[in-house]
Amino acid sequence: MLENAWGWLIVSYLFLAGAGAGAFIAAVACDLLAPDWSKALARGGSLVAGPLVAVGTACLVFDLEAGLWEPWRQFYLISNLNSMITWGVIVLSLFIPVALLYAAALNEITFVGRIAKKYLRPLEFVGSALALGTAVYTGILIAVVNGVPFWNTPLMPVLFLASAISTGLAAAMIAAAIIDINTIRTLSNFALGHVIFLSVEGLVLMLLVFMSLTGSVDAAASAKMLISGRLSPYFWILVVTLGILVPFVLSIVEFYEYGAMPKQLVVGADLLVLLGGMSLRALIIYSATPPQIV
Amino acid sequence: MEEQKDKPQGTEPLTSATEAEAEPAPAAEEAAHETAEAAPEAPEEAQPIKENALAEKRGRMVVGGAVSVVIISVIALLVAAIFQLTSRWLMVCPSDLPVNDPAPILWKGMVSETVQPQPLGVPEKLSGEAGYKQQ
Repeated sequence: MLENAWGWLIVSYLFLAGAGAGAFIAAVACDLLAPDWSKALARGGSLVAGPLVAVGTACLVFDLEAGLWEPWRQFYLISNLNSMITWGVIVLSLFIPVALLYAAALNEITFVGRIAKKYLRPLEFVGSALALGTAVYTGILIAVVNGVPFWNTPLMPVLFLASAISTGLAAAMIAAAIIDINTIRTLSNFALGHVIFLSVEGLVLMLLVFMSLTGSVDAAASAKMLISGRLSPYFWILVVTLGILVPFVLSIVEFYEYGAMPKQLVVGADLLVLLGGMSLRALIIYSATPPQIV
Repeated sequence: MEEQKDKPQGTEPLTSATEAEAEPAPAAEEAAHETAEAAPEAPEEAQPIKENALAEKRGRMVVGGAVSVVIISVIALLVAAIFQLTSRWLMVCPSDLPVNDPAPILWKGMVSETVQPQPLGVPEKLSGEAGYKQQ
């Protein structure tokens, strides 16, 4: 069995918070840059962003058992401003209500949404900054752990940001397809986003592995575990093939076919991006186990 | 593909059916307004229906968002399940077992019908070694 000090709740938090932040960025980008193409994508992205980050944060709180059984102690999470975790808690605590308010404003849900619609642009800019902070924070949370050389690299926040935008776009596209399946033709425009961010994700992942192989002994052991060791089947099948290569090819086809690709393949590519995103986070967490214990 | 090349993408009128229904064109609204002025009893019936339709669509959107969140959470659970179930198959067998493993001899002694005489106490060799250590 896979064992680590950080378990599945943390892996789920990293994935859900990243996907939620990415979905918010995708929704805002769609609303600002291409409002005529598909409002369904902006609507879908805005509707899933807040709840996804909220579910992810719930996983984080469940993992902090002391905070779960003695909730008043969570106040101490924001008491040390020199800690990255304090800033992460602040960013998450601000992002969730802003994202929910943005969803209400964009979709005019209840009277709160109708009032907030007047402040849509400020909400978009503030929310985007917070979403960016949330996506980067998931990587920083890992990168600041000095005890694990494989994690302790500035590439980690970049990798998590690229993966967050990629998975967020996938989440927004799935939500758009659920809200209105007829909008799927317009999603072909956004397949280019998948091509770009999956390329960045693959490139940064490759850099991370190669730099770790030439780095310290522990980092090299973690990288070897990924590419040729115990975790290599998951890495090559779930992350590289199903999570990056297959959706990358499907997105290129989707972009050039422009709406002619079967709906199942469009949604399938997005589901694979999400599968790859979750697997990537799990592998990064579990590959950091000290080699002598594994 | 050809259409995409011919036309600039941002100008394509690709609003979906839902959006078209949810957000009526200004011309259609004006026409409805004129009709309402012409017949005073019509808006009393039409207005609630329109509001219900919009509320239904908003409700559908919220439900769609909630379903998406559930699907994405299920994906997270699915990946966790895949890892947990398959990691048993990938356990590495230890390759550094001692050559003179006493386990088969002990097992044979346990399952044999005849009870073999076993020497009692600490073996002479071990007691000798322990003696050297104490000195």
